[in-house]
Amino acid sequence: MKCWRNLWVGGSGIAGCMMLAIIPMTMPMLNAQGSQTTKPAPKSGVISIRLESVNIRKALQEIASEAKVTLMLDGNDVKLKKVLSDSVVANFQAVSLDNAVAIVMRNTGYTGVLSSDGRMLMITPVKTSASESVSTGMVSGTVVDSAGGKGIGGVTVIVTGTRLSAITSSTGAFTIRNVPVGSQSLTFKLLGYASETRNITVESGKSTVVKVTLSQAISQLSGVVTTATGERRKVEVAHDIARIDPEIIMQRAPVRTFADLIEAAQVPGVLIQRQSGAPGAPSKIRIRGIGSIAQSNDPVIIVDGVWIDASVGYPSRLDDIDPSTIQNVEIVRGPSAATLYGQDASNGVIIITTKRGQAGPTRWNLNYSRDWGNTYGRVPYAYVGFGRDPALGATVHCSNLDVLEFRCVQDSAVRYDPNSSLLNREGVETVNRMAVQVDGGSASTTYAITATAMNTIGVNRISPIDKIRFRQLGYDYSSKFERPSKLDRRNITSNFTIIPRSNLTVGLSLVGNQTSLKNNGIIYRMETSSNTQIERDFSTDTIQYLRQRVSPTSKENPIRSDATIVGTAIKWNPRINWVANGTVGYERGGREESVYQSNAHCDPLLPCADTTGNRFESTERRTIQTVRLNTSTELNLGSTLKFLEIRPSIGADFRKENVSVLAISRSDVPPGEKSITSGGTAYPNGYRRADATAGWYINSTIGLFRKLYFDLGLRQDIGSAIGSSKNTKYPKLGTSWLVSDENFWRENNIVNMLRLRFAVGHSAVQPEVADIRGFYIGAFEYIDGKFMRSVELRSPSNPNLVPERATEFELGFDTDLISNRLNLMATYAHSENRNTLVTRELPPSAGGVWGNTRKENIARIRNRNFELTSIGRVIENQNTLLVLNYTLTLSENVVKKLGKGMLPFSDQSVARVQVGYPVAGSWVKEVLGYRDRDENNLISLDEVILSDSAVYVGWSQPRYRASYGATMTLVNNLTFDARFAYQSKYVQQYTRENRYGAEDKNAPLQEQAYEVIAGLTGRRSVTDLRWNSASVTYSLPSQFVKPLRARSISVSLQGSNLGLWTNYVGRDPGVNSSILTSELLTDDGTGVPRPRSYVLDFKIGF
Amino acid sequence: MPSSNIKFSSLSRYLVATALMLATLNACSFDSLVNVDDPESGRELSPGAISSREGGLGLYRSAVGQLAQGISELSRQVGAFTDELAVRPASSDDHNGMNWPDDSRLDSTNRWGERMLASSSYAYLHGARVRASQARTVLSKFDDPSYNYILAATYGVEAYSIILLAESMCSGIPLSEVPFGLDVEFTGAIPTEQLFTTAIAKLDSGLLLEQDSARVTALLRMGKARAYMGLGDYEQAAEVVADYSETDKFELTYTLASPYGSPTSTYGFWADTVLDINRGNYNLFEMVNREGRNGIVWYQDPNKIDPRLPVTLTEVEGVAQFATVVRQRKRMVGNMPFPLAHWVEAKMILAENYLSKADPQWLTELNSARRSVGLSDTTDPGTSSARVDLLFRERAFWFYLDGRRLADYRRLINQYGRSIATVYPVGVYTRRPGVPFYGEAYVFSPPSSEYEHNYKYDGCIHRNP
Repeated sequence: MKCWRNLWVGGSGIAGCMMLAIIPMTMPMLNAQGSQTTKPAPKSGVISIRLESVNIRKALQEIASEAKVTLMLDGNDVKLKKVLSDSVVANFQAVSLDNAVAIVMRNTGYTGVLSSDGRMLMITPVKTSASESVSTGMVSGTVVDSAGGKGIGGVTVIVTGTRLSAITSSTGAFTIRNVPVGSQSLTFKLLGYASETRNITVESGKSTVVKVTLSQAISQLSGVVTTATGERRKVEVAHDIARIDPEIIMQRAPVRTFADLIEAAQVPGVLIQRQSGAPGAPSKIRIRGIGSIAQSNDPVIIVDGVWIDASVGYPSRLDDIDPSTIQNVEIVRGPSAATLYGQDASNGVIIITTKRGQAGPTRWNLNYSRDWGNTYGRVPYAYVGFGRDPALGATVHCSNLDVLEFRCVQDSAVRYDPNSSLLNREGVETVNRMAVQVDGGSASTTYAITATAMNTIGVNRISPIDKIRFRQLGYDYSSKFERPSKLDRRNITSNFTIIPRSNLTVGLSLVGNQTSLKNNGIIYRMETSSNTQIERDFSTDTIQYLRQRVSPTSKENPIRSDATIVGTAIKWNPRINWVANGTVGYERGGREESVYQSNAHCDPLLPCADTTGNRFESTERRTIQTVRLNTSTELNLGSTLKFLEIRPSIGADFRKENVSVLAISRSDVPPGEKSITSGGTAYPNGYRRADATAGWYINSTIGLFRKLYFDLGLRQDIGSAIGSSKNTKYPKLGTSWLVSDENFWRENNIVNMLRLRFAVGHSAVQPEVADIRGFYIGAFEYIDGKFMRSVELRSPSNPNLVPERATEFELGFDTDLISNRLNLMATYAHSENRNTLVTRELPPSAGGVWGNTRKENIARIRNRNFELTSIGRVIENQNTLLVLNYTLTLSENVVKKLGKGMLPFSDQSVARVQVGYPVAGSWVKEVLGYRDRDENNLISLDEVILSDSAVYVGWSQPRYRASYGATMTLVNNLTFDARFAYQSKYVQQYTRENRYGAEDKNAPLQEQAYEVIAGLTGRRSVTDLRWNSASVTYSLPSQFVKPLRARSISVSLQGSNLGLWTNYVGRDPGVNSSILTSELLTDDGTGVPRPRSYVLDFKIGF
Repeated sequence: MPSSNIKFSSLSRYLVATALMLATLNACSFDSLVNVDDPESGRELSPGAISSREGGLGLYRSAVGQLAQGISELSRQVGAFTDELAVRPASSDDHNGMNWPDDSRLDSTNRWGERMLASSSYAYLHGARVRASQARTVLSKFDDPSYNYILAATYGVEAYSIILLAESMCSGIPLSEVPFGLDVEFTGAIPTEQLFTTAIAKLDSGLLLEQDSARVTALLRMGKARAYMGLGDYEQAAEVVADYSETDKFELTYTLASPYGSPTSTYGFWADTVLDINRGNYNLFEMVNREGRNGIVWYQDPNKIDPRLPVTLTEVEGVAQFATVVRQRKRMVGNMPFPLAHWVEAKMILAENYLSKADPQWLTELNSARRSVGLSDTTDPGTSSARVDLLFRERAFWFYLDGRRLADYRRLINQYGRSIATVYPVGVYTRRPGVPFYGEAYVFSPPSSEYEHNYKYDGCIHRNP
């Protein structure tokens, strides 16, 4: 057929207009855009089309359609039929028909031939000649990372000007055959790395070997992010989404829990508040401040598409997700970003993607780490005051407040050193952690399974003096009290990706976690003459009162929690420009806690039998069902409107949560019995609760000229509490403008890239069902001489409740500066939470006696945040890479409105919600002055002048936060890393026992003054600088690794919590024992400080 | 064009699929999709669970219980602020701020006149009122005539709560409503007179219901008479109870026991905090005699104790300033009935009506009541003022610790023109010489929380001393 022209002979080549090569389905899909700073070169009559997960037949059809030619296929060619069913992925931007067909048919043995009139495209077998075979050579080589020297997989290697290309394997190796002889240019591209071009000379019949080093691109705009409607290129997304790579974080800092991971990532606007440094102690995550007063401020957590329970329990549900099993975490900050996630998303969304497998041979990764930790810093002497009750004349323990309020006349103070060899109860914390990961698969199925185990023995130990006392008392304290705090965690996470058809991908993820926490210990009951028992729990407390007149009793508190998360994700591409996603998820969480506490009240100086006891057990079951459906399409209007991209999507989701709790307590349990069914009197209690939300949304991304993007969306929700009658429509609008791609932009080496973005959106936190419906309790009344069942109204209904509505606008910019060496991202976010729910007391005339409160939408809260992230490559050469990063967060939280007639309310008289001040603002009496009048080096109460009224001293969250980190890599094998964090202008409550005593003559007078009135003030503004972590990591060069038949070996020595510089008098302002119960309270009084730990981490991959 | 066909075919399919998806979502009832069972707890009950016969009965019982609690608290409070009770000194709670009767400036320092006990009785009485109304809403649904007597009783409980508030407090008390399952309806200050007329209207509603419970009818009638007395309409009051017999009564009962079996969790009425002086920290009150300048002499001789008010004189160790404690024995034990409506009150009303008309029958009515407990007849003191004094002294003995004394003070001032100085126990607190004086007039206004949380309420209209 002479009228056919072989497209490949004499073709003009790819000529630099092709933006991306074909990527086999077995490899990770790459975004088609490459560097955002690269400007496409439009060309008349070219093809711009995205081909994802389609077979070659469809790809050819799309290309033919785009080029307005008729496709002709030989139906009798069996081999061709098979070829046409193969999968292909590509994204063409202004590519010629020749090249597009060449790319699609690469390595298939077929080629495309265009009819002479250019109207028909026929696919025919490639005919090779002997002359061709001798005029080519082979190019092979490796692509390695400039930072660690490791091979980089997925790099596209293109022989410039030809159809020839290859993708590197996971080790970075590639081979391209049949490369025309002579001078050639190779281009190496991978998102996240700066592109490289290498000129080579190819000799006939010979192999040319190339080694190329790629440097990670500084730009944070590369790559894709997960949104409610699916993955999007980051440049198209108008709000800032932080992305965390756990593998990188865990290489530089000890990470045991999910909260550790988030904290180590130092994401601006994200705050981790720790309860304690004890094993299993939970943490709260707060994103861009506190928006709710009576509702949860927890962000939504989504694991592989499954909305999981993120409540702060003990241990935290967040700890069900082992950091080792995570591929990446994305933090969606603020309502403007979270609009489409629906109810409860106002506090932000954290999207966790667990590790995925890569096709190829089975790979094993083993990781073992061992931590040693201990508490640090000077512990001041502690004092216990004793005196007498003026009314009763009895000897009592005096707190400062007792003294101030004349309940106690103090006559002595007894000093003790908590760190003395006898009293010290802090040992060395040890953590053993092991992770085994295996992944691999074929083109149609990949898998990744990660199993982790962690064992922690907390820093607490029984003190020598306690041992002696127990022996004297005839107690068997046994080994379970020797080290009272223990945590064991087992986690297995698996992911399977199945591609049954070229346009269908099914993912299955399973997470199973089991945690066992033991808080055994001793409770000391201080017997005072007024029979008040001061209980100090050995397992959680830091320092005991003086061991005088105390009765020790044993306490065992085992807690078991488990979680199962199952997620199924289906992605279906019925057409090239139409994608449908569906996720079905299920989470089941369980928790069982038992407390067995002996109840002996006996003189400690006499032998005392463990005669009676109390036992408490509770079982908690939570199930969460998540269904999320989303469909999106890409409307490409072809050559007529190629400047316009529209990607509308529509989706719906449904979530239902069931909670059931059964608690049984039993008193008078016989000695030695640990079973709830044994003896005594049982008091069962419990509750069941269910909550469901559903919603649908429409969203559209509109792109103009590939540099100006608009993101429009609208969501509507319904929920169990709010029904469908409330105004629960949440709009969003965002725009992202790649200014540096505009024609007016003049290329320069100072500002290489600049993007401006703006987003505004609404989101909500909904009330609970009981808040709207109200509830009663069962009771008894004595009527006509007998008790009869009655019901008592506890919370009147409030059918007018609406969800809290948060409106946020955020604006910011991203820029690459100074020859792409410095990247800056800055964001200002302003959010107003309207209709904020407040638990409001009802007037007695509404009939309440007890619990006469209900929620009302009466407050308004404003949060303003400024967030800055800076990453700079200070030194970058062949042997050395020094990267510095810096983050800054400025936060402001103000109660703008509190409802008519709502007076400022307080919690323990110091934390208030007051208009004009932050939600958790602290108010204390001021120390106006002090003077040691009697010159005895002791400040007593009458030597301190206090203000008459309390003054505002600060907020429970830092007003200013900054972090600083430096990473230096030498000769690609040795990496040093150090991280610091600074926080200021926040308030912490301290208690007396851990501070300077009232009788400590060595203490600074100012501290004495504060200590004396600790009961009245008790709060201090805190500024601290913490040396969070340091690490040195050595990756063995390949010559040492290969003989061991390993792929990679690395050893890392890490340290965490290495230094703390603060004005805070307490032991560690970074722990906060009251976070479980209230946003308003902060209290370091009983928290175990965070240990300083050193970690040896060993990783080997096969 | 083939290409266009492909594109717009794709678009149309997408739109069709979208439309189908939306249609499917709309086809499902959105509300049913997210509807969940009411939360359940060991003791928590949803409004749905209460919308039953048992729930309605439970609400009614709650109303009765809260009325009893309200009267109990009111009795203690009224007793302490009148000449019925005094606080024992040297209590361990003295330094915890619970020695409030020692603070003489009872109505001068606190903007709202709030006292701890006032807030509790105030809340209980409103609680009884609201529960009664809710119980009626629930039980009315069943249209069951056998519940009519309970429905009538709910009117009675509601009305009595209002009457007690009107009698004891300033003029201008809100009557907010909490309709079952609906939003709270706040109200502003309602004058005392209107409270009484509101109560009468509710009692009339109860009386209109066809039911055969003599108890309930007795309650409704006496309540109506009491409300008329509050309005100063003795004629109407007497008319309502003219044929009240000794069998006409409505009683509440109280107990020291707890339904939960714990002896420390006491339930209801006076006994826990007022009368059981042996109960540790609760031994705050004792009976007094001729308190202040105007107080009644409750007893003169241990051998001549009024049977309406038995007392015991007890030597108590460790009380520094006096060794003899007077313990009233009227309500000392648990499981006693408390008469809310009783024929003696009818006699007092009839006597007062006769006295207002200068009809000598007034003394007959008083003595008729006295004879029922074995007391000899009293004699006419001769002057109209002394007759009023006698009438109210008789009421004081009959209604000791029933929470009536303050209302009688008020009626003496407002209906009989007596001065505050001649009615209230103005003067030295007899058991605590050296401590400050009683105030001269008390204003029981709603507690602070009413001002803070009821946006329609701005305070009392009139002190109503």
